[in-house]
Amino acid sequence: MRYQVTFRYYPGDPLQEIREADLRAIADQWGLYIAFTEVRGDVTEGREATLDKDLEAITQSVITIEGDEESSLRGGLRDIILRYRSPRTCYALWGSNPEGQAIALEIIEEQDGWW
Amino acid sequence: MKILGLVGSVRKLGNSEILTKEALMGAEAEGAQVEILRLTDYEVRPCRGCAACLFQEGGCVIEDDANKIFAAMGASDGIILGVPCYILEATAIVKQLIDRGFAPMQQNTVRGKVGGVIVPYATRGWTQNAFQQTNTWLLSLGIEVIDQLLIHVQGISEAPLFPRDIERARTLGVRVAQAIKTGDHTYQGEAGICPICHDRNLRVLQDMETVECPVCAVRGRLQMEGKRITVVFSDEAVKRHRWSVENLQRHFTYHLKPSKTFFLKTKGERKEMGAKYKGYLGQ
Repeated sequence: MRYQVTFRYYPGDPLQEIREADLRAIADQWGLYIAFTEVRGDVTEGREATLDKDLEAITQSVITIEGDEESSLRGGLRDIILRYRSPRTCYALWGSNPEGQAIALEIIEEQDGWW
Repeated sequence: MKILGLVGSVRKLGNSEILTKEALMGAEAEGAQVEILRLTDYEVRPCRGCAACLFQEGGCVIEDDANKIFAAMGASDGIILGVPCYILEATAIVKQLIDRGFAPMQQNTVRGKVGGVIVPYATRGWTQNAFQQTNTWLLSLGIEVIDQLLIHVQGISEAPLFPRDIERARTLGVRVAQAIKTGDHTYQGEAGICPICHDRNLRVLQDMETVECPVCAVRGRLQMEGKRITVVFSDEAVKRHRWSVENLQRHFTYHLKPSKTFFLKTKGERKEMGAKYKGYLGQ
């Protein structure tokens, strides 16, 4: 089973700066593939029009986590959430596959459900 | 200088109204032009969650008196809110107006006004959330609350029996007027815990290390100094508070408006999956 989880953090969501080096350490520890992409939307004079825009096109930090082992995936997701807190919105997992999303939602609830 | 008194009690000339009027008298003595509205005299329907204010980026489309109340607030320099606490919290009209406040929150039509809050209550120990609703309402609109009072008084119109409380209400009105005149919006009420709303409530988060103001979302840590608990908030955490204009703008921009795209992307799926609930139990 290949799990894929996408975490979309919007400006102000992560509690600290997301750094590739930290993600690489998590990936190495848990044997996961983790990719990080910064998306810069159309910001004019400090404001961004996000209505009717593609979810992928607005300003966000995207962490993509992939792996074959459920227990490793759980461990990696826990570490990411402990470091940055969980993504905030109902559409923050958009792009995950159903298997990955199911596990991610469990871990989010476990780590960050009442935060 | 205009100061608007808002009363969240149905009782006419009850303690909330008397204490609010006393505060307005104090403000008037400082040169303010004062006005009072009894919120429960107005028709304020529940927010229906239509999201028109969000997705059409306009005012609230419900045609009742809520927009009139927000307009009156926007036309004032200061707001003095008197609202009773019956069971732990403010009365329902305040919650109704919190939910109806999405449009003025987004448009910042009330932001920057000076606020004062007076909460009369009857029984000690039954007020733990008294300021949560009032602070949520006023802070979400961008009103800077500079003073708040919890006043122990029960029977109708009995507040004048307690000269100290009457005096304190008057002082609140004076402070609001002076803050408008001087531009110094420093909080002058009783010191609390949260550096933003000054309430004393804290949630313990699931990590069992972090505490958070449930209203302002400022996170800190508990420390013991001898037998005393202190709460430490970093400057960074304080800056992240929920009600800053930057944070609210981020919230509307990134947490709420993109939900329309998500709604449209998942429309077919939701329609199909929701079909079994349609008509169930006649609803």
